[in-house]
Amino acid sequence: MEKIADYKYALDESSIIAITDQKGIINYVNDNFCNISKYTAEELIGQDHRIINSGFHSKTFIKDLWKTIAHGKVWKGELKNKAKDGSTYWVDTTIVPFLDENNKPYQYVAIRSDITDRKEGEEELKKILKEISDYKYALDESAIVAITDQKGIITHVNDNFCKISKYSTEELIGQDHRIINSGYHSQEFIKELWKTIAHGKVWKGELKNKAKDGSTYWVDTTIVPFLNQDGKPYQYVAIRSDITERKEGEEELKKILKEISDYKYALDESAIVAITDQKGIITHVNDNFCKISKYSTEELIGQDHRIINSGYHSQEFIKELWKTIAHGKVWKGELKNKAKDGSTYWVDTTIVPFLNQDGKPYQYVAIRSDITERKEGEEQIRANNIKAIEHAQILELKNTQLVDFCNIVSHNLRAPLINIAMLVDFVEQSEDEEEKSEALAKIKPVVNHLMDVFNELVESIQVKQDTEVDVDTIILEDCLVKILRGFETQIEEYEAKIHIDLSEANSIYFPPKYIDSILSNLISNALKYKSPHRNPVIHIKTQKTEQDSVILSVADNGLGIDLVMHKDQIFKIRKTFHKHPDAKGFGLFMTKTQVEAMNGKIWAESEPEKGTTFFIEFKKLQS
Amino acid sequence: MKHIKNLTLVDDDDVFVFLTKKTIEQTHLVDLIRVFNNGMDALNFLKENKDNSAELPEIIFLDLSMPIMNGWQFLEEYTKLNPYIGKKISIYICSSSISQDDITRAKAINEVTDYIIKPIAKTKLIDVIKNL
Repeated sequence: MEKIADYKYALDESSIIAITDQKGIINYVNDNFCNISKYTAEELIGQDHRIINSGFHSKTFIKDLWKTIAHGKVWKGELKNKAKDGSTYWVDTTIVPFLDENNKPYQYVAIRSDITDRKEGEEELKKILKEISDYKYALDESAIVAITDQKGIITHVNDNFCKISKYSTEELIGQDHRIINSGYHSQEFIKELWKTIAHGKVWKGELKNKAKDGSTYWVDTTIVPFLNQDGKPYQYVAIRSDITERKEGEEELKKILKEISDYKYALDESAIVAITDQKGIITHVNDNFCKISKYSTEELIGQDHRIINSGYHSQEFIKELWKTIAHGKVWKGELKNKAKDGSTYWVDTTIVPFLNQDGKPYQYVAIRSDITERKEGEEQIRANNIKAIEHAQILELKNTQLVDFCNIVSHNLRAPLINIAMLVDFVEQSEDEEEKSEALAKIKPVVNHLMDVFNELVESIQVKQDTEVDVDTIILEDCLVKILRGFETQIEEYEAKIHIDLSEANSIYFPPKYIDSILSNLISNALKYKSPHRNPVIHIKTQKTEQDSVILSVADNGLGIDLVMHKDQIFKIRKTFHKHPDAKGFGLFMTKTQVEAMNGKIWAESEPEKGTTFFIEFKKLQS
Repeated sequence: MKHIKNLTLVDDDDVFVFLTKKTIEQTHLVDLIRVFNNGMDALNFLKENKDNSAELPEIIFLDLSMPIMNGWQFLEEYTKLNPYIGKKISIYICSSSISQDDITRAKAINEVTDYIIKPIAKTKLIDVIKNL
C-alpha cells in the first residue's frame, strides 16, 4: 500500500490529474490542474468537466472519446483545453474509467501532461508549410519552374515549363538542362551565368530557349542556387516568365530601327540633307550639304538657314514656301542657293515639316539634290531663246524695212517714170505745137523729182548699210547749241522760245552725223509747221529709262498731226501732212531710218492745233 | 454716146492731172472736170454739195498716194458720207501702185467700182466713161 501511495505522489507531482464522476462532474483536481487551468480547486469541484472545453475539437471527436470511456476502455489523445482567462493549452491526455462490480464506470481519472509548447510549434510549422505550399502553388501557376541538381540535370519541372518547352515531364526529368539551349547566346554569356550560380549567387537575365519543335522562346529567368551546410549549391531552381512577345516586339523594333538607320544612311549618302528648327536655325547638315555649300559643319550649325540664300528668288516665292511648311505641308520645288565662295547652285528641294503632338512643326528636314547642271542647261536654252527672239525681231524689222523699200520703189519711183512715159506718148501723138511744148516743159520737173527721190533712196540705203558708221559719245547740249545756231534767223523771225532740259541725261553714244541730221530735222519741223496763231515754243528734254536708255523728246505747240488719220503714214517716205511749200515727206522717213539703224525707236504724240511731240529712244550702247 | 456732165480728178500729181484732163477734153464726152490735189479738199467739196445734185460728179478718179488725206482715208470718210449723197457716184482708183495688197484692199470696198493701174490709156478712159 505504501508503494501505491508513492506512485500517487509521483503522479500528482508530475501530471495534471482530475477525477470526475460518471456524469463528468469534477470531484478532484490536483495542483498541476489548477495551475494550467488557472482555476482554484474550489472553483472546479462540483463543476461539469466541460468548463475547460475549448470548442476546438469536433463533436464526433468528443463523442468517440465518451463512447470509449463509457465502455470502460482507456482513452488516449491530445486535447486542447481552455483556461479561466480564455487562453488555450494542449494536453496529452489518458482517461482511465474506474469500474464498479457491474463493470460500469463510476468515475474517470484523467491524467494529462502539458504539450502546449509542442503543439504550438507544430501549428506554426503547419502554417509555414501551408504558406510555402501556397507560394509554390502560386509559383507553379504563374511561373515556369525547373529544378536541376548541381550538375544541371533536371530533377523537377512544372506544367508551365512543359507547356512552353513542348516536352513532357517524363522527357525532361533526368535530362541535362542544355536540352533547351537555343545556341543563341554567346559562350561567354553562358559561362558567366554558371560562374554566378556556382558561387551561390542568384542570376537574373533574359534567355532565348529552344522548344522541342525547334521554335524558340524568350524567358525572363531567375536562377536561385540552394546551398548545403558547406555553402555549396546542391540544386538550382530556375524561375522563368515568358517574354517572347516583348522580345519579339523589341527585335521587331530593332529591325525597324535598323531599317530606319539604313534609310538615313542611304539618304545621307545620296542626298543633300539639312535639318532646321522651326525658326530656320540649322541643327544638322550632312557631308553632301557641306560639299555643295562649301561650308564646314561647324560653320553651318546654329546659323540661320538664310546663310545659303542666293537672293535669286522673289520674296513672294520664299513667303509661299514658308507658308506651306509652317502649315505642316511638304514643299517641293527648285531653289538656287549660294555657296560660301559666292558661287551659286541649283537644288531640287523637298522640305518635310516634322510635327509635334499639337500638329505644329518643331523642325524641318530639307532633302535636296544637285540640279545645277540641268538648270544651267535650261538657263542657257532660255538665253538662247531670248537671243533667237531678238534675232527674229531684228529680222522682222529688217523685213518690214525691206517691204517698205519695195513699196517706195513701187510708188515713188514708178509714178514719175509713168509720168515721163505718158508725157512722151502725149508729145508723140499731139499735133498741136503749143500742146507739145507744154508737155515737154513738164518733163523736166518730173525728171528732177525722180532724181530727188532716187538720191534720197540712195541716202537711206547708205544708212541701212552703214554698219560701220563712226559712233562717238555725244554731248547733247553742245550738239543742240550748234544746230540751233543754224536756225537762228528763223527763231528770231518767228520769235520762237526754245527750252532745253538735259538734267537727266546729257550724253548718248551715237553716230554724230545721224544725231545732227535727226535733231536738225525735228527742230526744223517744229519751226516749219508752227501755228499761225502763236509764236513757237519748243521743249527739248531727256529722260532716263529703267533699262538705261535715253529718251529725247522734242515738243512743239505747232499745227499738230491728225494721228488717227495718219498713224501709219507719219514716218513713210514722201508723206506730207501739211500744205507747206517745203514739205517733201523725206525728213521723218530719214530720221526713222537713222534711229532704227542704231536699234533705237521713234514715235510721236500729237493733236491738231495743239502741237506735236516726237520721242526718240536711244538704246544704251557700250562706249 | 453717153454724155457726162461732171467728172472729178483727185490727184496731187500735176503731170497726171494735166495729161488726163487733156485726154478727156479731147473726147468731148465730159462737160466739166474738177480737180482736187488731196482727199481732204475733195471730201469737203462733196460734203458742201451733197444736196446739190447738179454739182456732184458722176465719176471720180481717185489717186491713193496723196498728202494731207490719201485715197484710203478719203474712201473711209466717203463711205460714211455716201448714204447722205443724193447721187450715184462711180469711183475708180487710179494708182501707180502695182501692189496686190492695194488691189485686193480696193476691191473689198463697195464704193469702189474698179482699180486702174497708171498709166491709163486713152481707150481705157473712153471705155470707163462710155460704160457708165
